[in-house]
Amino acid sequence: MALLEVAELDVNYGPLAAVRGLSLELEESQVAVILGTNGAGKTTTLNAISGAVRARSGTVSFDGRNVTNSAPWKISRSGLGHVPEGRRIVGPLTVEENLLVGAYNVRSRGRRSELIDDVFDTFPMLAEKRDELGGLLSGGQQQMLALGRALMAEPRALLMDEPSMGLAPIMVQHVMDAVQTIAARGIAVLMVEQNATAAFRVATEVYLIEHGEVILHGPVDQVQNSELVRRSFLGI
Amino acid sequence: MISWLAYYDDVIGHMFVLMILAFSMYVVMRVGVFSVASIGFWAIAGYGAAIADQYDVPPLLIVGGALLVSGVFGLLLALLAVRLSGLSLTMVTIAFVLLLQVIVLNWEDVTGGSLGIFGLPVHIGTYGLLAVVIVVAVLLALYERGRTGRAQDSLLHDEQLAQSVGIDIRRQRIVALTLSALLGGLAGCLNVFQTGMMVSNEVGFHVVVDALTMVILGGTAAWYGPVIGAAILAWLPQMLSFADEWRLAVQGVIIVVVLVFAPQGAAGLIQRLARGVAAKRRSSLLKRREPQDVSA
Amino acid sequence: MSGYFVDAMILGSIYALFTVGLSLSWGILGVLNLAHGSIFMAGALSAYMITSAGALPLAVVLPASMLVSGGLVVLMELVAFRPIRRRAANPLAAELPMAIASVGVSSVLVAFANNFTAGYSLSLPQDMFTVSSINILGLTITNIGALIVVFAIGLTVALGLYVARSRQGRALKVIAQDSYVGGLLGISMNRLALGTMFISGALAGCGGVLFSIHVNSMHAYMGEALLLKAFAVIVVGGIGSIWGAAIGAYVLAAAEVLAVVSVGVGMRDVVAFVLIIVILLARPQGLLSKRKWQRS
Ligand SMILES: Nc1ncnc2c1ncn2[C@@H]1O[C@H](COP(=O)(O)OP(=O)(O)OP(=O)(O)O)[C@@H](O)[C@H]1O
Ligand SMILES: [Mg+2]
Repeated sequence: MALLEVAELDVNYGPLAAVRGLSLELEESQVAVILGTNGAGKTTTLNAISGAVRARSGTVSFDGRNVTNSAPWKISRSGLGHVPEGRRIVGPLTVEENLLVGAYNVRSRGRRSELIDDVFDTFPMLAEKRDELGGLLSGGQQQMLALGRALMAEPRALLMDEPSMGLAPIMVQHVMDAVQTIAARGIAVLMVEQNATAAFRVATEVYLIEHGEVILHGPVDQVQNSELVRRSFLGI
Repeated sequence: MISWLAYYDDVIGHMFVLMILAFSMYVVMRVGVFSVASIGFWAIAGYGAAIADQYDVPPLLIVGGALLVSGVFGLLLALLAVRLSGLSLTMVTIAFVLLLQVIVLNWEDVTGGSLGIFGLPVHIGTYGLLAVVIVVAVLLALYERGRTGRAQDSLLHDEQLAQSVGIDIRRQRIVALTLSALLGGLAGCLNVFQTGMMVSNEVGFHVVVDALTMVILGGTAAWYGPVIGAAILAWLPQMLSFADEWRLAVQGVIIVVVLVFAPQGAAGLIQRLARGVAAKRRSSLLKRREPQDVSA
Repeated sequence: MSGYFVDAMILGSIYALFTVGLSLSWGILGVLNLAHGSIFMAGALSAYMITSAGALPLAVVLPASMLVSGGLVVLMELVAFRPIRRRAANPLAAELPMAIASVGVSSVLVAFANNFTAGYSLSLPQDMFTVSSINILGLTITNIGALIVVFAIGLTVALGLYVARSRQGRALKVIAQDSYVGGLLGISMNRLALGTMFISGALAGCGGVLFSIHVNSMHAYMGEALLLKAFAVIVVGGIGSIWGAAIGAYVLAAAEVLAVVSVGVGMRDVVAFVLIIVILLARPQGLLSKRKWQRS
């Protein structure tokens, strides 16, 4: 049984069907990428998995438990992190406070500071900015902070929504390296991306979605040669 | 029937006055603003009318004056208020009413303090009030059909969307707040003309609760929402005659229950029903046409 | 001269006890609790009801009343605010209905108090707390006045430090900024809302009890006038800021005492309104609030 299983997921915004009969699986320690054009329903899918929008039907199970339409904070506590689209760093809090907030459900002060040191080791760039306000960081720094913040909860799996969005090529590379580091620790990653080239370097599974439906699914080495992916996402 | 009408003449007349006050709340609610400024203008115009009446100023002149003053102050308040967002705007309008309350209670020489001003002539009867209500309702219904009205609809549903299609929210809100002030002033003036008195209670908390009961219960989906709300509020004392001292409590419960369980109010429910009926008719028409398509 | 200082300190302390909770629930949860004045009153009323059941010292009555007033706001959260929040399309869309619902609740509380007191002013029994004059640092102050100051400063500082330092305090700042992200980080907004609402109500209730001993009177509308003052305090201090509310409270009190001394008693209640208008015209985001964390 896979760590995260989504089956026949339907999500509506009023009359609009944003996600339709979507199924996917994420194995332990696996990195999968969801590709899709703007408005395909990628963010909606992630939000439905983490409980932030209501699924109309279908099931989401994590770690063998049915978590469909549970409260987001409960799903987060069960070990499924979510790095949201646009990073959403809490501007008036410092970098350190933003990280501490990530460990909201870690009760021990000692454990929290261990986790912080660990994040600073992984992302030295953040250590330098420790006392700066989160809102003042650059886009790339904020993305690192968002990843670090998610790690603070010691998740078993992470959802990431377009981590490379709006970043310079060099920063995209840093972010993908970071994703790789995270995956190397055994944390499963389900990542939404539009930058397929970058995503294929770290992912092993691909889901291509359009109009809220999975239209293609398979291992990266097979899918990246498909006509559909080459034309729409690799610009070949 | 005739004797019934005569018996309840005061209630019916007051119902029409309440309708205009409800319209005043309604026009701002429709642009997504929670303002209680209507009660402020109701009070200003009410006291203005009562005081002018003591000096035998002709009633038409009083109405004109009330509209002028409400319009000007309404515009000023609107210009200040639209700089603010959401709850801050609400806060300013509440502060405005609370300030008026203090002034009314303390400026006894002019306002009569907590007793108020009594024994004024009655200038308007039930039919006159009905005429005013009809005129206002027709104007509002036309206004809703017109361009600005439609702009407000989309604004109500999605502020960002409205902005992105180039609707000037600030202007819409200034118009709505000023219109609301005019209607509030008109209602306050007519209230004094109908009852022949103005008491300090009319600036108080219970008028705010009355106004909200009407507009929440009736809903803001269409112009008939406030009409329904006012009609129910006017008859509430008759229905609750055994427990008048609990009237405020009943209204409070109504407000909360409607907001939680039927946020669109009566007008919203009616619209939904109407839409349901229309959809059913359309789908039955479609079904009837189906065989023809097959045979064609 | 020192008499004025003492007056301003006591007044400011009442304002602080009243406003801190109001500002907190507005800033963090988007709840403009217009029943806050009624909660203040409910604190005093429950003290009266408790002592009429049996002679008890203030040390028992005060915590019990704070429990009641805090509990009332928790009840509001459960029956009104939470359902409205759950149904709203986004957090912003819940703000206006929640504010209106709070007027409904206020209406219920005021009706209850009005019926209980039969519209009269009541005084709390003397044997619960005997008021006397004391001397501190050369200032003459009543013991209840001193208690008010001590409670206001003590509770505000404790709350301010708690929010600044604790795990829950940080989470509150996240919720205030972005409740969506709060959920993704494992923060339960509903739980934090209960805590915030309880504290907000308990502080107001504490103010209500102490104030009614201080002025030796309580009545159904005692909290209403404070709402205007609280708005001015919030405008000075910035929405949601505990320190800002505390500073704003003493600033307003000092300004009021100054106005009374230099102009006359009539000016007292106008100061708050003028402050609101002037500050909102000049700095709509509040006098003390800063936005330095945003990139330009
Ligand atoms: N809150 C909302 N209310 C109504 N419709 C929405 C809402 N959020 C998204 N949609 C619609 O649902 C569809 C899917 O949106 P979604 O944000 O999931 O797409 P996406 O694949 O993440 O796009 P992008 O690449 O631009 O981030 C779109 O048509 C969008 O307009
Ligand atoms: Mg997206």
